[in-house]
Amino acid sequence: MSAHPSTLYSETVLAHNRAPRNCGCLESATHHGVAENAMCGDHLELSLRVRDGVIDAVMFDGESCAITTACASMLTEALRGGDAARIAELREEMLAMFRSGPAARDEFAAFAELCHHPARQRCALLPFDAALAALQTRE
Amino acid sequence: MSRLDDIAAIRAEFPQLARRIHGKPLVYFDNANTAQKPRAVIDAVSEYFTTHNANVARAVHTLGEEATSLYEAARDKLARFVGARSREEVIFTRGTTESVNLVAYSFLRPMLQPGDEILVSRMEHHANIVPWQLVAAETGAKVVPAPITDTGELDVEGMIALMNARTRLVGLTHVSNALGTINPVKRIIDAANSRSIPTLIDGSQAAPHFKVDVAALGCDFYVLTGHKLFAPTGTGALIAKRAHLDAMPPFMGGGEMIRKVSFEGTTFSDPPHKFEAGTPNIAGFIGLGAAIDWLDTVGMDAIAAREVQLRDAMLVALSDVPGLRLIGAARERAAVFSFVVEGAHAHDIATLLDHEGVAVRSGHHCTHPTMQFFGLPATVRASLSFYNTEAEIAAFVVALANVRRMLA
Repeated sequence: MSAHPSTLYSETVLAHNRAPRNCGCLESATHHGVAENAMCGDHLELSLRVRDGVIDAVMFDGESCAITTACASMLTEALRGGDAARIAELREEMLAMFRSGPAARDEFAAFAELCHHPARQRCALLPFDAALAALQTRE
Repeated sequence: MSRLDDIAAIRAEFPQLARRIHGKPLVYFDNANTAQKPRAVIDAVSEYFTTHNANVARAVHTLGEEATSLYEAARDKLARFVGARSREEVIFTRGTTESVNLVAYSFLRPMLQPGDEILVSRMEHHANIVPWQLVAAETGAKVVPAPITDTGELDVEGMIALMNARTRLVGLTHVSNALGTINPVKRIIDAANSRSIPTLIDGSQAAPHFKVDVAALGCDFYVLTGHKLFAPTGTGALIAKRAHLDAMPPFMGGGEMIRKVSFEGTTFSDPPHKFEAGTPNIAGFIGLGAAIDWLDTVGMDAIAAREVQLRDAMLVALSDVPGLRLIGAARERAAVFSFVVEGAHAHDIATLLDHEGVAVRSGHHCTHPTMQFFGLPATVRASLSFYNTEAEIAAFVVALANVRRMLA
Protein backbone atom coordinates (compact mmCIF):
# COMPACT_ATOMS: atom_id res chain seq x y z
CA MET A 1 0.00 0.00 0.00
CA SER A 2 1.28 3.45 -0.82
CA ALA A 3 1.82 6.22 1.67
CA HIS A 4 -0.59 9.11 1.78
CA PRO A 5 -0.43 11.00 -1.50
CA SER A 6 0.72 14.13 0.27
CA THR A 7 4.15 12.53 -0.20
CA LEU A 8 3.46 12.14 -3.92
CA TYR A 9 1.70 15.48 -4.22
CA SER A 10 4.39 17.22 -2.19
CA GLU A 11 4.61 21.00 -1.93
CA THR A 12 7.45 20.85 -4.46
CA VAL A 13 5.32 19.00 -7.00
CA LEU A 14 2.24 21.15 -6.37
CA ALA A 15 4.27 24.37 -6.64
CA HIS A 16 5.78 23.35 -9.98
CA ASN A 17 2.31 22.31 -11.18
CA ARG A 18 0.80 25.67 -10.21
CA ALA A 19 3.60 27.70 -11.76
CA PRO A 20 5.59 25.54 -14.16
CA ARG A 21 8.99 26.84 -15.23
CA ASN A 22 9.86 27.19 -18.91
CA CYS A 23 6.34 26.48 -20.09
CA GLY A 24 5.46 27.68 -23.56
CA CYS A 25 6.85 27.79 -27.05
CA LEU A 26 10.58 28.07 -27.78
CA GLU A 27 10.74 30.02 -31.04
CA SER A 28 14.45 29.40 -31.61
CA ALA A 29 14.32 25.63 -30.97
CA THR A 30 16.68 23.37 -32.87
CA HIS A 31 14.90 20.22 -31.72
CA HIS A 32 11.26 19.47 -31.00
CA GLY A 33 9.75 16.28 -29.59
CA VAL A 34 6.32 14.99 -28.60
CA ALA A 35 5.34 12.22 -26.20
CA GLU A 36 1.90 10.89 -25.42
CA ASN A 37 0.60 8.86 -22.53
CA ALA A 38 -1.73 6.26 -24.02
CA MET A 39 -3.22 5.57 -20.61
CA CYS A 40 -4.68 9.02 -20.06
CA GLY A 41 -4.28 10.82 -23.37
CA ASP A 42 -1.79 13.33 -21.99
CA HIS A 43 0.25 15.12 -24.62
CA LEU A 44 3.57 16.82 -23.97
CA GLU A 45 5.79 18.78 -26.35
CA LEU A 46 9.34 19.71 -25.51
CA SER A 47 11.65 21.98 -27.47
CA LEU A 48 15.41 22.25 -27.13
CA ARG A 49 17.95 24.70 -28.44
CA VAL A 50 21.23 22.83 -28.65
CA ARG A 51 24.53 24.59 -29.47
CA ASP A 52 27.76 22.63 -29.71
CA GLY A 53 26.18 19.70 -27.85
CA VAL A 54 25.03 21.93 -24.98
CA ILE A 55 21.36 22.64 -24.25
CA ASP A 56 21.12 26.38 -23.82
CA ALA A 57 17.33 26.69 -23.86
CA VAL A 58 14.47 24.29 -23.21
CA MET A 59 10.70 24.73 -22.95
CA PHE A 60 7.71 22.45 -22.74
CA ASP A 61 4.03 22.73 -23.50
CA GLY A 62 1.03 20.46 -23.43
CA GLU A 63 -1.91 19.18 -21.49
CA SER A 64 -0.92 17.00 -18.61
CA CYS A 65 -1.48 15.98 -15.01
CA ALA A 66 0.30 17.49 -12.02
CA ILE A 67 2.96 14.79 -11.96
CA THR A 68 3.85 15.21 -15.63
CA THR A 69 3.71 18.99 -15.48
CA ALA A 70 5.89 19.22 -12.38
CA CYS A 71 8.37 16.72 -13.75
CA ALA A 72 8.57 18.57 -17.08
CA SER A 73 9.10 21.82 -15.22
CA MET A 74 11.95 20.34 -13.17
CA LEU A 75 13.46 18.65 -16.21
CA THR A 76 13.69 21.91 -18.11
CA GLU A 77 15.60 23.41 -15.20
CA ALA A 78 17.87 20.38 -14.91
CA LEU A 79 18.72 20.32 -18.59
CA ARG A 80 19.56 23.94 -19.21
CA GLY A 81 23.29 24.43 -19.63
CA GLY A 82 23.89 20.70 -19.66
CA ASP A 83 24.96 18.10 -22.14
CA ALA A 84 22.26 16.58 -24.36
CA ALA A 85 23.42 13.12 -23.25
CA ARG A 86 22.19 14.01 -19.76
CA ILE A 87 18.55 13.34 -20.77
CA ALA A 88 19.01 9.61 -21.14
CA GLU A 89 21.08 9.47 -17.94
CA LEU A 90 18.39 11.28 -15.96
CA ARG A 91 15.72 8.93 -17.32
CA GLU A 92 17.78 5.93 -16.21
CA GLU A 93 18.19 7.49 -12.77
CA MET A 94 14.43 7.98 -12.55
CA LEU A 95 13.84 4.31 -13.45
CA ALA A 96 16.42 3.23 -10.88
CA MET A 97 14.64 5.32 -8.28
CA PHE A 98 11.31 3.62 -9.12
CA ARG A 99 13.01 0.27 -8.52
CA SER A 100 14.89 1.04 -5.36
CA GLY A 101 13.77 4.31 -3.79
CA PRO A 102 15.46 7.70 -3.91
CA ALA A 103 19.20 8.01 -4.27
CA ALA A 104 20.84 10.41 -1.85
CA ARG A 105 21.29 13.43 -4.12
CA ASP A 106 18.68 12.77 -6.77
CA GLU A 107 17.34 16.03 -8.11
CA PHE A 108 14.07 14.26 -8.92
CA ALA A 109 13.64 12.83 -5.42
CA ALA A 110 10.23 14.55 -5.30
CA PHE A 111 8.99 11.65 -7.46
CA ALA A 112 10.38 8.88 -5.26
CA GLU A 113 6.90 8.04 -3.97
CA LEU A 114 6.02 6.90 -7.49
CA CYS A 115 7.78 3.62 -6.67
CA HIS A 116 4.49 2.87 -4.84
CA HIS A 117 2.32 4.02 -7.79
CA PRO A 118 3.37 1.93 -10.80
CA ALA A 119 0.32 3.12 -12.77
CA ARG A 120 1.55 6.71 -12.48
CA GLN A 121 5.26 6.19 -13.25
CA ARG A 122 4.60 6.77 -16.92
CA CYS A 123 3.43 10.29 -16.01
CA ALA A 124 6.89 11.22 -14.75
CA LEU A 125 8.67 9.56 -17.67
CA LEU A 126 6.67 11.47 -20.28
CA PRO A 127 8.84 14.64 -20.22
CA PHE A 128 11.99 12.54 -20.62
CA ASP A 129 10.45 10.72 -23.57
CA ALA A 130 9.50 14.02 -25.20
CA ALA A 131 13.08 15.24 -24.70
CA LEU A 132 14.56 12.04 -26.15
CA ALA A 133 12.15 12.28 -29.09
CA ALA A 134 13.32 15.85 -29.58
CA LEU A 135 16.93 14.73 -29.84
CA GLN A 136 15.93 12.43 -32.70
CA THR A 137 14.58 15.35 -34.72
CA ARG A 138 15.86 18.62 -35.98
CA GLU A 139 13.89 21.69 -36.90
CA MET B 1 -40.58 -5.86 -1.19
CA SER B 2 -37.23 -6.19 -2.81
CA ARG B 3 -34.07 -7.76 -1.47
CA LEU B 4 -32.49 -4.37 -2.18
CA ASP B 5 -34.55 -2.84 0.67
CA ASP B 6 -31.93 -4.30 3.00
CA ILE B 7 -28.87 -2.88 1.29
CA ALA B 8 -26.57 -3.76 4.21
CA ALA B 9 -27.46 -7.42 3.77
CA ILE B 10 -26.91 -7.20 0.01
CA ARG B 11 -23.52 -5.54 0.50
CA ALA B 12 -22.54 -8.23 2.98
CA GLU B 13 -22.82 -10.73 0.12
CA PHE B 14 -20.00 -8.92 -1.73
CA PRO B 15 -16.93 -9.59 0.41
CA GLN B 16 -14.71 -7.00 -1.22
CA LEU B 17 -17.11 -4.15 -0.45
CA ALA B 18 -16.02 -4.53 3.20
CA ARG B 19 -12.42 -3.65 2.37
CA ARG B 20 -10.72 -0.56 3.66
CA ILE B 21 -8.41 1.35 1.34
CA HIS B 22 -5.76 3.56 2.94
CA GLY B 23 -7.67 3.26 6.18
CA LYS B 24 -10.97 4.45 4.67
CA PRO B 25 -14.04 2.37 3.80
CA LEU B 26 -13.93 1.41 0.12
CA VAL B 27 -16.32 3.41 -2.05
CA TYR B 28 -16.34 1.36 -5.24
CA PHE B 29 -17.47 3.63 -8.07
CA ASP B 30 -15.69 1.78 -10.89
CA ASN B 31 -18.45 -0.65 -11.80
CA ALA B 32 -18.41 0.19 -15.50
CA ASN B 33 -14.82 -1.07 -15.48
CA THR B 34 -15.55 -4.29 -13.64
CA ALA B 35 -18.13 -5.29 -11.05
CA GLN B 36 -17.54 -6.85 -7.63
CA LYS B 37 -18.46 -10.50 -7.19
CA PRO B 38 -21.04 -11.88 -4.79
CA ARG B 39 -20.07 -14.74 -2.47
CA ALA B 40 -22.34 -17.03 -4.51
CA VAL B 41 -20.10 -16.56 -7.57
CA ILE B 42 -16.88 -16.97 -5.62
CA ASP B 43 -18.25 -20.13 -4.00
CA ALA B 44 -19.42 -21.60 -7.32
CA VAL B 45 -15.95 -21.15 -8.83
CA SER B 46 -14.32 -22.57 -5.73
CA GLU B 47 -16.71 -25.52 -5.64
CA TYR B 48 -15.97 -26.35 -9.25
CA PHE B 49 -12.25 -26.58 -8.49
CA THR B 50 -12.71 -28.46 -5.24
CA THR B 51 -15.45 -30.84 -6.34
CA HIS B 52 -16.19 -31.02 -10.07
CA ASN B 53 -12.93 -30.12 -11.83
CA ALA B 54 -12.75 -31.91 -15.17
CA ASN B 55 -12.79 -30.96 -18.82
CA VAL B 56 -16.08 -30.42 -20.64
CA ALA B 57 -17.60 -32.22 -23.62
CA ARG B 58 -14.90 -34.87 -23.77
CA ALA B 59 -14.79 -37.10 -20.72
CA VAL B 60 -17.53 -39.64 -20.08
CA HIS B 61 -16.57 -40.07 -16.45
CA THR B 62 -18.69 -38.62 -13.67
CA LEU B 63 -16.58 -35.50 -13.14
CA GLY B 64 -16.60 -34.76 -16.85
CA GLU B 65 -20.37 -35.08 -16.89
CA GLU B 66 -20.70 -32.79 -13.88
CA ALA B 67 -18.42 -30.15 -15.34
CA THR B 68 -20.19 -30.28 -18.71
CA SER B 69 -23.58 -30.08 -17.13
CA LEU B 70 -22.63 -27.03 -15.00
CA TYR B 71 -20.97 -25.33 -17.97
CA GLU B 72 -23.92 -25.90 -20.30
CA ALA B 73 -26.37 -24.89 -17.58
CA ALA B 74 -24.69 -21.50 -17.59
CA ARG B 75 -25.55 -21.22 -21.29
CA ASP B 76 -29.21 -21.97 -20.56
CA LYS B 77 -29.23 -19.37 -17.80
CA LEU B 78 -27.65 -16.69 -19.98
CA ALA B 79 -29.96 -17.50 -22.89
CA ARG B 80 -32.97 -16.94 -20.66
CA PHE B 81 -31.41 -13.91 -18.92
CA VAL B 82 -30.95 -11.96 -22.16
CA GLY B 83 -33.97 -13.31 -24.01
CA ALA B 84 -32.10 -15.32 -26.64
CA ARG B 85 -34.35 -17.31 -28.97
CA SER B 86 -32.50 -20.53 -28.16
CA ARG B 87 -29.47 -21.78 -26.25
CA GLU B 88 -27.74 -22.58 -29.55
CA GLU B 89 -27.62 -18.85 -30.29
CA VAL B 90 -25.40 -18.21 -27.25
CA ILE B 91 -21.69 -18.49 -28.05
CA PHE B 92 -19.33 -18.29 -25.11
CA THR B 93 -16.30 -16.05 -25.66
CA ARG B 94 -13.63 -14.45 -23.50
CA GLY B 95 -15.59 -11.21 -23.46
CA THR B 96 -17.13 -8.49 -25.58
CA THR B 97 -13.91 -7.85 -27.48
CA GLU B 98 -13.65 -11.45 -28.65
CA SER B 99 -17.37 -11.48 -29.49
CA VAL B 100 -16.99 -8.45 -31.77
CA ASN B 101 -13.86 -9.89 -33.36
CA LEU B 102 -15.70 -13.15 -33.99
CA VAL B 103 -18.39 -11.27 -35.93
CA ALA B 104 -15.82 -9.11 -37.71
CA TYR B 105 -13.76 -12.05 -38.93
CA SER B 106 -16.29 -14.85 -39.40
CA PHE B 107 -19.38 -12.91 -40.48
CA LEU B 108 -18.28 -9.64 -42.01
CA ARG B 109 -14.84 -10.13 -43.57
CA PRO B 110 -15.92 -12.78 -46.10
CA MET B 111 -18.54 -10.43 -47.55
CA LEU B 112 -16.65 -7.11 -47.49
CA GLN B 113 -15.80 -5.46 -50.81
CA PRO B 114 -13.82 -2.28 -51.48
CA GLY B 115 -16.03 0.73 -50.77
CA ASP B 116 -18.31 -1.14 -48.36
CA GLU B 117 -19.16 0.63 -45.13
CA ILE B 118 -19.42 -0.34 -41.48
CA LEU B 119 -21.47 2.23 -39.58
CA VAL B 120 -20.78 2.77 -35.88
CA SER B 121 -21.58 5.64 -33.55
CA ARG B 122 -18.98 8.13 -32.37
CA MET B 123 -19.51 7.01 -28.77
CA GLU B 124 -18.33 3.41 -29.22
CA HIS B 125 -15.77 1.66 -27.06
CA HIS B 126 -12.61 0.82 -29.00
CA ALA B 127 -13.81 -2.82 -28.98
CA ASN B 128 -16.63 -1.79 -31.32
CA ILE B 129 -14.34 0.25 -33.61
CA VAL B 130 -10.94 -1.39 -33.96
CA PRO B 131 -12.04 -4.90 -35.06
CA TRP B 132 -14.05 -3.27 -37.87
CA GLN B 133 -11.08 -1.12 -38.84
CA LEU B 134 -8.89 -4.21 -39.09
CA VAL B 135 -11.21 -6.05 -41.46
CA ALA B 136 -11.92 -2.83 -43.37
CA ALA B 137 -8.20 -2.26 -43.91
CA GLU B 138 -7.83 -5.77 -45.33
CA THR B 139 -10.73 -5.44 -47.73
CA GLY B 140 -10.82 -1.79 -48.76
CA ALA B 141 -14.00 -1.14 -46.80
CA LYS B 142 -14.31 1.80 -44.42
CA VAL B 143 -15.66 2.50 -40.95
CA VAL B 144 -18.11 5.40 -40.95
CA PRO B 145 -18.78 7.27 -37.67
CA ALA B 146 -22.37 8.28 -36.93
CA PRO B 147 -22.80 11.66 -35.24
CA ILE B 148 -23.54 12.33 -31.60
CA THR B 149 -24.82 15.55 -30.06
CA ASP B 150 -23.24 17.96 -27.58
CA THR B 151 -25.34 16.33 -24.86
CA GLY B 152 -23.68 12.99 -25.59
CA GLU B 153 -26.76 11.50 -27.24
CA LEU B 154 -26.90 9.60 -30.47
CA ASP B 155 -28.09 11.64 -33.46
CA VAL B 156 -30.61 8.96 -34.42
CA GLU B 157 -31.74 10.57 -37.65
CA GLY B 158 -28.11 11.29 -38.52
CA MET B 159 -27.19 7.64 -38.04
CA ILE B 160 -30.16 6.41 -40.07
CA ALA B 161 -29.31 8.88 -42.84
CA LEU B 162 -25.86 7.26 -43.12
CA MET B 163 -27.35 3.80 -43.78
CA ASN B 164 -27.08 3.09 -47.48
CA ALA B 165 -26.66 0.33 -50.06
CA ARG B 166 -22.96 -0.03 -49.14
CA THR B 167 -23.58 -0.42 -45.41
CA ARG B 168 -22.73 -4.00 -44.45
CA LEU B 169 -23.19 -3.69 -40.69
CA VAL B 170 -24.38 -1.22 -38.08
CA GLY B 171 -22.66 -1.34 -34.69
CA LEU B 172 -24.01 0.52 -31.67
CA THR B 173 -23.46 0.45 -27.95
CA HIS B 174 -26.57 -0.11 -25.85
CA VAL B 175 -25.17 2.08 -23.05
CA SER B 176 -22.11 4.31 -23.45
CA ASN B 177 -19.34 3.34 -21.05
CA ALA B 178 -17.87 6.84 -21.21
CA LEU B 179 -21.02 8.97 -21.01
CA GLY B 180 -23.67 6.75 -19.48
CA THR B 181 -26.06 7.48 -22.36
CA ILE B 182 -28.69 4.78 -22.94
CA ASN B 183 -29.14 4.60 -26.69
CA PRO B 184 -32.49 4.05 -28.41
CA VAL B 185 -31.08 0.88 -29.96
CA LYS B 186 -34.49 -0.44 -31.02
CA ARG B 187 -35.01 2.52 -33.38
CA ILE B 188 -31.64 1.94 -35.00
CA ILE B 189 -32.19 -1.83 -35.25
CA ASP B 190 -35.62 -1.31 -36.83
CA ALA B 191 -34.22 1.18 -39.33
CA ALA B 192 -31.36 -1.19 -40.21
CA ASN B 193 -33.67 -4.21 -40.41
CA SER B 194 -35.97 -2.39 -42.84
CA ARG B 195 -32.92 -1.88 -45.06
CA SER B 196 -31.69 -5.48 -44.53
CA ILE B 197 -28.51 -4.26 -42.82
CA PRO B 198 -27.23 -6.52 -40.02
CA THR B 199 -26.82 -4.96 -36.57
CA LEU B 200 -24.48 -5.58 -33.66
CA ILE B 201 -25.37 -4.16 -30.26
CA ASP B 202 -22.71 -3.88 -27.55
CA GLY B 203 -24.53 -4.74 -24.34
CA SER B 204 -21.52 -4.70 -22.01
CA GLN B 205 -22.85 -1.76 -20.01
CA ALA B 206 -26.53 -2.65 -20.36
CA ALA B 207 -26.89 -6.24 -19.20
CA PRO B 208 -25.68 -5.54 -15.63
CA HIS B 209 -28.20 -2.71 -15.14
CA PHE B 210 -31.56 -3.53 -16.70
CA LYS B 211 -33.50 -6.29 -18.37
CA VAL B 212 -32.27 -7.03 -21.87
CA ASP B 213 -34.47 -8.87 -24.38
CA VAL B 214 -32.38 -9.71 -27.42
CA ALA B 215 -35.23 -11.37 -29.34
CA ALA B 216 -37.50 -8.35 -28.83
CA LEU B 217 -34.72 -5.99 -29.91
CA GLY B 218 -34.40 -7.94 -33.15
CA CYS B 219 -30.69 -7.31 -33.64
CA ASP B 220 -28.54 -9.81 -35.52
CA PHE B 221 -25.78 -9.84 -32.91
CA TYR B 222 -25.73 -8.88 -29.24
CA VAL B 223 -22.44 -8.99 -27.34
CA LEU B 224 -21.68 -8.76 -23.65
CA THR B 225 -19.05 -9.50 -21.06
CA GLY B 226 -19.33 -11.51 -17.86
CA HIS B 227 -17.00 -9.61 -15.55
CA LYS B 228 -19.20 -6.50 -15.58
CA LEU B 229 -22.13 -8.84 -14.84
CA PHE B 230 -20.66 -9.86 -11.45
CA ALA B 231 -19.03 -12.98 -12.97
CA PRO B 232 -15.33 -13.80 -13.38
CA THR B 233 -13.13 -12.17 -16.02
CA GLY B 234 -12.54 -14.11 -19.22
CA THR B 235 -16.22 -14.81 -19.75
CA GLY B 236 -18.45 -13.25 -22.36
CA ALA B 237 -20.96 -14.05 -25.00
CA LEU B 238 -22.12 -13.47 -28.51
CA ILE B 239 -25.85 -13.92 -29.02
CA ALA B 240 -26.54 -14.26 -32.73
CA LYS B 241 -29.32 -15.23 -35.08
CA ARG B 242 -29.08 -18.94 -35.82
CA ALA B 243 -29.10 -18.45 -39.60
CA HIS B 244 -25.92 -16.37 -39.35
CA LEU B 245 -24.22 -18.91 -37.10
CA ASP B 246 -25.04 -21.72 -39.52
CA ALA B 247 -23.63 -19.76 -42.46
CA MET B 248 -20.53 -18.36 -40.76
CA PRO B 249 -17.22 -20.22 -40.91
CA PRO B 250 -15.58 -20.99 -37.55
CA PHE B 251 -13.53 -18.18 -35.98
CA MET B 252 -10.86 -20.42 -34.50
CA GLY B 253 -10.07 -24.03 -35.21
CA GLY B 254 -9.14 -26.76 -32.77
CA GLY B 255 -10.71 -29.20 -30.40
CA GLU B 256 -14.37 -29.18 -29.38
CA MET B 257 -15.50 -27.32 -32.51
CA ILE B 258 -15.17 -30.30 -34.89
CA ARG B 259 -17.40 -33.14 -35.93
CA LYS B 260 -14.83 -35.12 -37.88
CA VAL B 261 -11.22 -34.31 -38.71
CA SER B 262 -9.23 -35.84 -41.51
CA PHE B 263 -6.48 -34.56 -43.75
CA GLU B 264 -8.90 -34.76 -46.66
CA GLY B 265 -11.28 -32.38 -44.92
CA THR B 266 -12.83 -31.48 -41.60
CA THR B 267 -16.45 -30.98 -40.68
CA PHE B 268 -17.54 -28.78 -37.84
CA SER B 269 -19.87 -29.01 -34.88
CA ASP B 270 -23.16 -27.20 -34.91
CA PRO B 271 -23.48 -23.85 -33.13
CA PRO B 272 -22.68 -22.97 -30.43
CA HIS B 273 -19.73 -25.35 -30.17
CA LYS B 274 -18.61 -24.61 -33.72
CA PHE B 275 -17.38 -21.26 -32.34
CA GLU B 276 -15.86 -22.54 -29.10
CA ALA B 277 -12.53 -24.09 -30.05
CA GLY B 278 -10.38 -25.44 -27.26
CA THR B 279 -10.98 -25.92 -23.58
CA PRO B 280 -13.06 -22.98 -22.39
CA ASN B 281 -12.93 -20.99 -19.16
CA ILE B 282 -15.08 -23.61 -17.44
CA ALA B 283 -14.81 -22.20 -13.92
CA GLY B 284 -15.51 -18.72 -15.20
CA PHE B 285 -18.70 -19.71 -16.99
CA ILE B 286 -19.90 -21.69 -14.00
CA GLY B 287 -19.33 -18.43 -12.12
CA LEU B 288 -21.37 -16.63 -14.76
CA GLY B 289 -24.21 -19.09 -14.24
CA ALA B 290 -24.03 -18.44 -10.49
CA ALA B 291 -24.03 -14.67 -11.11
CA ILE B 292 -27.23 -14.94 -13.13
CA ASP B 293 -28.84 -17.12 -10.45
CA TRP B 294 -27.86 -14.48 -7.91
CA LEU B 295 -29.26 -11.64 -10.05
CA ASP B 296 -32.50 -13.62 -10.34
CA THR B 297 -32.86 -13.55 -6.56
CA VAL B 298 -32.86 -9.75 -6.72
CA GLY B 299 -34.54 -9.15 -10.08
CA MET B 300 -33.33 -6.89 -12.87
CA ASP B 301 -36.36 -4.60 -12.54
CA ALA B 302 -35.55 -3.97 -8.88
CA ILE B 303 -31.91 -3.37 -9.80
CA ALA B 304 -32.89 -0.90 -12.53
CA ALA B 305 -35.24 0.96 -10.17
CA ARG B 306 -32.57 1.15 -7.46
CA GLU B 307 -29.99 2.45 -9.92
CA VAL B 308 -32.37 5.19 -11.08
CA GLN B 309 -32.52 6.38 -7.45
CA LEU B 310 -28.73 6.32 -7.19
CA ARG B 311 -28.37 8.06 -10.55
CA ASP B 312 -30.67 10.88 -9.52
CA ALA B 313 -28.98 11.25 -6.13
CA MET B 314 -25.62 11.43 -7.88
CA LEU B 315 -26.84 14.07 -10.34
CA VAL B 316 -27.97 16.26 -7.45
CA ALA B 317 -24.75 15.70 -5.49
CA LEU B 318 -22.49 16.45 -8.46
CA SER B 319 -24.37 19.64 -9.26
CA ASP B 320 -23.16 21.01 -5.90
CA VAL B 321 -19.45 20.42 -6.54
CA PRO B 322 -17.81 23.71 -7.53
CA GLY B 323 -15.82 23.63 -10.76
CA LEU B 324 -17.19 20.24 -11.81
CA ARG B 325 -18.48 19.83 -15.35
CA LEU B 326 -20.38 16.70 -16.36
CA ILE B 327 -19.58 15.36 -19.81
CA GLY B 328 -22.78 14.18 -21.43
CA ALA B 329 -26.25 15.19 -20.36
CA ALA B 330 -28.42 12.53 -21.94
CA ARG B 331 -32.03 12.37 -20.80
CA GLU B 332 -31.87 8.57 -20.83
CA ARG B 333 -28.80 7.66 -18.86
CA ALA B 334 -27.32 5.04 -16.60
CA ALA B 335 -25.59 5.76 -13.27
CA VAL B 336 -22.33 6.45 -15.09
CA PHE B 337 -20.84 9.94 -14.82
CA SER B 338 -17.88 11.33 -16.71
CA PHE B 339 -16.66 14.67 -15.50
CA VAL B 340 -13.79 17.11 -15.41
CA VAL B 341 -12.90 19.48 -12.60
CA GLU B 342 -11.50 22.91 -13.28
CA GLY B 343 -7.81 23.14 -12.46
CA ALA B 344 -7.38 19.44 -11.72
CA HIS B 345 -6.30 16.68 -14.07
CA ALA B 346 -8.36 13.47 -14.15
CA HIS B 347 -5.41 11.27 -13.17
CA ASP B 348 -4.50 13.43 -10.21
CA ILE B 349 -8.12 13.38 -9.04
CA ALA B 350 -8.29 9.58 -9.33
CA THR B 351 -5.01 9.06 -7.44
CA LEU B 352 -6.07 11.42 -4.68
CA LEU B 353 -9.61 9.98 -4.48
CA ASP B 354 -8.06 6.53 -4.10
CA HIS B 355 -6.40 7.73 -0.95
CA GLU B 356 -9.81 8.74 0.35
CA GLY B 357 -10.95 5.16 -0.30
CA VAL B 358 -12.83 6.05 -3.49
CA ALA B 359 -12.19 3.94 -6.61
CA VAL B 360 -12.99 5.71 -9.89
CA ARG B 361 -11.55 5.43 -13.35
CA SER B 362 -9.66 8.23 -15.03
CA GLY B 363 -8.49 8.45 -18.59
CA HIS B 364 -10.10 8.01 -21.97
CA HIS B 365 -12.17 4.92 -21.05
CA CYS B 366 -11.12 3.22 -24.31
CA THR B 367 -13.18 5.81 -26.21
CA HIS B 368 -10.67 8.11 -27.94
CA PRO B 369 -13.18 9.30 -30.58
CA THR B 370 -15.71 10.24 -27.87
CA MET B 371 -13.03 12.14 -25.96
CA GLN B 372 -11.91 13.87 -29.15
CA PHE B 373 -15.51 14.90 -29.82
CA PHE B 374 -15.62 16.66 -26.46
CA GLY B 375 -12.08 18.01 -26.88
CA LEU B 376 -10.80 16.30 -23.75
CA PRO B 377 -7.77 14.06 -23.24
CA ALA B 378 -9.30 12.43 -20.19
CA THR B 379 -12.18 12.51 -17.74
CA VAL B 380 -12.88 11.08 -14.31
CA ARG B 381 -15.62 8.47 -14.41
CA ALA B 382 -17.73 7.42 -11.47
CA SER B 383 -19.94 4.43 -12.26
CA LEU B 384 -22.37 3.04 -9.73
CA SER B 385 -24.12 -0.24 -9.18
CA PHE B 386 -27.12 -1.26 -7.11
CA TYR B 387 -24.93 -2.08 -4.11
CA ASN B 388 -23.72 1.50 -3.82
CA THR B 389 -25.42 3.80 -1.32
CA GLU B 390 -26.42 7.42 -0.83
CA ALA B 391 -23.90 7.55 2.04
CA GLU B 392 -21.15 6.60 -0.39
CA ILE B 393 -22.25 9.38 -2.74
CA ALA B 394 -21.97 11.83 0.16
CA ALA B 395 -18.50 10.50 1.05
CA PHE B 396 -17.46 10.76 -2.60
CA VAL B 397 -18.50 14.40 -2.82
CA VAL B 398 -16.61 15.27 0.38
CA ALA B 399 -13.52 13.46 -0.95
CA LEU B 400 -13.82 15.32 -4.24
CA ALA B 401 -13.96 18.66 -2.45
CA ASN B 402 -10.81 17.74 -0.46
CA VAL B 403 -8.99 16.81 -3.66
CA ARG B 404 -9.98 20.01 -5.36
CA ARG B 405 -8.69 22.06 -2.42
CA MET B 406 -5.38 20.24 -2.52
CA LEU B 407 -4.82 20.76 -6.23
CA ALA B 408 -6.05 24.35 -6.33
